[in-house]
Amino acid sequence: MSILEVKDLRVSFHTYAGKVQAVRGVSFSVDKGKTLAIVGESGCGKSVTVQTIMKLTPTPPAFIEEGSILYEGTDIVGYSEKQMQKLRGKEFSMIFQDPMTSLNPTMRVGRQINENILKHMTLSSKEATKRTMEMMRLVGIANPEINMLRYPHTYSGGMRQRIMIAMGMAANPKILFADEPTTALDVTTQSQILDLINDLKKQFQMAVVLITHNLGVVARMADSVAVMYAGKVVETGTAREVFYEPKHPYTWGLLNSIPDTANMNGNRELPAIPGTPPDLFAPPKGCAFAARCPYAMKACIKAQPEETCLSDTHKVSCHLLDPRAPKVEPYHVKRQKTE
Amino acid sequence: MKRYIAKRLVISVITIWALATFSFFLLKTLPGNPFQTEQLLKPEIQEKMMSYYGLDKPYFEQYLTYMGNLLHGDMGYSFKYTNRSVWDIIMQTFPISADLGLRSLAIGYPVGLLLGTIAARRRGKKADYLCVLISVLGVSVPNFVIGSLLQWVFGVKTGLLPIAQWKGFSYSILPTITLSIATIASLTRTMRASMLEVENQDYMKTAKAKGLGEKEIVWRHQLRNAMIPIVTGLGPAVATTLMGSFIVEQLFSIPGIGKHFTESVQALDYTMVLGLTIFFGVFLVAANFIVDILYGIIDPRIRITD
Amino acid sequence: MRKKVVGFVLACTVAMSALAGCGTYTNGDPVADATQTEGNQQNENGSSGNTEQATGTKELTIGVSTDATSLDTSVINDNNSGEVLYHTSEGLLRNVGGKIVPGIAESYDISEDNLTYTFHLRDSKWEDGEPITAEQFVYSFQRLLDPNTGATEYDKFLSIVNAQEIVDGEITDLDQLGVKAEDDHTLVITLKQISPTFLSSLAASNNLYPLREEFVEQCGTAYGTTGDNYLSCGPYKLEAWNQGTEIIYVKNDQYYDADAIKMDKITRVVIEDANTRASMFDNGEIDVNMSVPASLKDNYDSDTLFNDPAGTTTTLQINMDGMTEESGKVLSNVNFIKALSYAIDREGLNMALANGTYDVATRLIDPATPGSTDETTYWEEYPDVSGAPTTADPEKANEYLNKALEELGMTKEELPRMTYLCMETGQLKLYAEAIVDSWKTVLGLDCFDIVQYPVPTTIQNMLDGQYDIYWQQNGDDMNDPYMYMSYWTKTGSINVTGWMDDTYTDLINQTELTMDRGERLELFAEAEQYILDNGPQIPLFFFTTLITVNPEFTGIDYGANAEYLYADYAE
Repeated sequence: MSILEVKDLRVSFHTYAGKVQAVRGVSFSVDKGKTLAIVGESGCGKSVTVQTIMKLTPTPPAFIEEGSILYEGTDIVGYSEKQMQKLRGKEFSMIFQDPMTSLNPTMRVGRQINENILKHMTLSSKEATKRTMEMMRLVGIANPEINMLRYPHTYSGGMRQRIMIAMGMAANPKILFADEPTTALDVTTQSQILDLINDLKKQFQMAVVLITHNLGVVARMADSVAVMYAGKVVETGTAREVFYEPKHPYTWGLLNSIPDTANMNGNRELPAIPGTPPDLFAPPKGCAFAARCPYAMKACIKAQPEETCLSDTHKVSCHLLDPRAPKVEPYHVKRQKTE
Repeated sequence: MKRYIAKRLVISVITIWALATFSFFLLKTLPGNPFQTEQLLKPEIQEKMMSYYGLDKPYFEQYLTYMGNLLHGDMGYSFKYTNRSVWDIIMQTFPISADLGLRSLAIGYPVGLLLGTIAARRRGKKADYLCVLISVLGVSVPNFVIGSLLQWVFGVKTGLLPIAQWKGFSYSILPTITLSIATIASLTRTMRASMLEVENQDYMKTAKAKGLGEKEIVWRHQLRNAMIPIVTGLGPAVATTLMGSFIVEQLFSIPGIGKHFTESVQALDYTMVLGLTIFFGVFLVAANFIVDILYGIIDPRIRITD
Repeated sequence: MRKKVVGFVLACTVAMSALAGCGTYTNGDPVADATQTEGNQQNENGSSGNTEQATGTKELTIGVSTDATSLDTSVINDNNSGEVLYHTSEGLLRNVGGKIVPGIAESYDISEDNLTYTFHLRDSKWEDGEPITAEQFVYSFQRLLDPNTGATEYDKFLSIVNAQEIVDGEITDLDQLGVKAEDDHTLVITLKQISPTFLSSLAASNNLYPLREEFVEQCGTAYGTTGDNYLSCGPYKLEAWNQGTEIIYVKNDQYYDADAIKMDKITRVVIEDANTRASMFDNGEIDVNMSVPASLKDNYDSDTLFNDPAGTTTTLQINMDGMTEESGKVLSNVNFIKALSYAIDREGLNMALANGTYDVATRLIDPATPGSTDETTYWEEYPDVSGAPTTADPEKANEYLNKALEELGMTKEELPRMTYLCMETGQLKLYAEAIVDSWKTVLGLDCFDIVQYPVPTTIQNMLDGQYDIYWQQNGDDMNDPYMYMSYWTKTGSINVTGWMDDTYTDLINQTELTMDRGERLELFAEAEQYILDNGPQIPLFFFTTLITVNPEFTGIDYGANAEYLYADYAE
């Protein structure tokens, strides 16, 4: 049952140099208690999409050109700032990539968490402090009475991210948006944080929208995946579908570029997708991936592919799925199915 | 903390000593003497005066005498204002300059910070342009032009306020406004820049993501962080403002310390120049020290840990 | 919590500082404040009509540019301090408007050999009722010449017996000075040589006012540094000295001629900025502006604006020794000097840079100098002395130049570079540029460099001979030509011009040998023409002072110094 549905969202930035079409028609949905991972390379529009949902990008220069964002059935695209403030922190919350810069360096961490609670929950300040300490314990910070008085710079990276999560969870949000939450952390800490998010998700039946460019993270966390390229979702489906039955050449390219440590003998080049994403000031008329796609056809350059539904959950936008297109072999490395 | 203070004190004393010594010998290299005024005293008389005040002794001997007296708190007597002690002149004029300076800061800082905040929060809109315009005008138009204009409008044309002097509250209005304009202008710019820089920080997004309203975001998150660079400049700004503006004081005939800074050098009034230099030096050092402590209070990343 | 405390403290500091000013205001008295606010009316010719109606006392407010620096008669050497003492003290004689009138000494006798002056003092009192005695004058004379006082203005009185020896430290017993009190009302001064200028110097001096020994000793070095460390014995007494702001005089009822003093209170207000001062005059906040910039001359009409000679002779001084050997050769040539002089358009400069307020000088001795009789002036008696044209005379100038070049055996191009030195004050740079430019246009000479320094440095350079041409301003004694003319003798103390002329020196020395003013003026006239023809001074201007006086008042003058002893309301 989807708690958040994004339909054909278009967001562009109006700059002095022109209009940058950052998001060119993105659709996906998030189910209650499930994790959606949004994957793509840098600059494909994943952060913008998610931040636009929470209306965190300042409206000049960002503009929602078209589309709808349905939260629990209500379209929030037209919501005023005041209405959004009611949603933020309470219904949605977001944690960011770099916990050092994302926490106010001159405010004690306890207070930063407390702020969220006091804003959205009617508790006395004593009760709020108690809850703050609870949240800190929840995310694994011991001795919260002392530690809530500390400043962010006295914590390590992993601990800071935990504080961010505590802050995000403090008012019991229904959706947690996590924008590359582990990119700045080392691998062990990464693991801990991801586990934490999963635990909290189960405990509070919270939906999670996880942005990442790390397919390993996707594999571990995601119930469903949306692959974005150049401002559009090119393929979306359950994690299983996308990993084991990818249909879009870009997805193939992504999966292909995961280093295969098992078959490393000697020195082989890391496989990569050649080329660079297009300039979003003047996006191409046709498929944006055409320039880098080894299977590009004339049709790809001329027109944008429609979305093809391969199943209830699996949707792909590629001309190759057109019945008239030639059959191609995906060039990806076949993964062993593990149960 | 105590060790830090002790260390700073020692450094401060050394700084002041170096300042005094350097100034002393630098002054001596200037050609001329305090008795070469436009009255054109005869050379024999000048020589007599030089030896009367001990200025014909070797420089190093004069230096030791001066330093010795200084340690006893004696800054000597002014040459231009015969027999009046340097300290007395400073103590007579400094409170007036400080008074004027404090008033102008009391107006300049709140207004400047406010305009800067408005400009930053309403960036690109009319309010921003207006604030920046005020700031640019305040910096470009010399303060004697602003002061003269105010004098003319409020004093000459309409007679609402006194033109000059420092005899009561109504006298202080025009010079305070004139002097505060420079502070307002530079603060607006600095604050605006600082606020904008803070706005681009990630924690501002976090604050917004928490659903906080604009007022809460500005007050709790943006301002405190934006104030940090402002506080750095506070020390020298306060010290210089309190030391009197020669131009404003002259324009409004306020008997402050400002004129003595320029006058004493032009007249080669050695003791006065040295006295003022040391006085200002101590003031500045103290102001910077206080700022450093303040800094630690505002920005917890810079707390002094022993 | 800590943040809140800090914030609170800061807020308090700010609030308190805004109120703190209650303590630093320089309050005059409430009367002054009341009249201040009343006087703020807009008017064109400065009529205020405020004081008498408001309080019933007669009050005058004078705006000046500079405060006094000290009230110690022995050590002062500036006009502003002198002005304050002039109005609050009285010496043996006074110089009022150029005339010598009796002061505390109601009469004096001069011995036949002109060496002994006996002054008969009248009955007079200090502000506290103590009598003024001859002994107090003796103390003052001694103090001026005592090397331990650090006085600078004693050099006109070195003709007194033992004065030179005391000054040099050879005699330490001050009582050996030739100034003695025979009794409380008789003062006898003996000179070692005759001095025709002795009386006029005495009358003009601000350094020989009587002093009360116990009071001065009690104050020690602080004597004269504040209003409290000073006693008045003159027409007004010093009520308050708010340093840097104003001086308040109040009529001295103990003064022997108190009936002639009309004002009850005079306030001497210090307003440094010339435009502010002018605005305050226009506004009626001050009744007199003692120094009006020439540019504002046309704003006032003739019953408000007065142009008085300031007793300053301005010349271009030539260094005939030159800064370098080459320039010295050129500048020793009198024809070259004349060429420079005739190329200058003095009238033009006056109009352009001084708004026509200066007096153009074609000679050196001050126009205010009285003649040998009470009815004539020196200029009237010797009108033909002249050394320069009032406007440029290009023909003559080039004539002189060609003669000079011939004598020097040089062409224009071969002339060395010469340095024109002046101070950094006021408009001197503009004058320099204008003059150097006129040498270029009239004479075709482009070999002058203008150099400016702060006052002490410039003077030092001049005294060291580091100049070729120097903008020289000398205050002169408007009563007697000796002071100015003696500067340029062979022994003249500031004669760093390379002009050591026996004839001139001789003439000037002779003026000291006779008491007959007529004889002396004849000698001076001869010397003046001589130096104009042969010497190193190119006359330019006699400076004047512009003052504006509210037509409601009279009795305010600017001679060499401001005078307002007999200020009164006009009828």
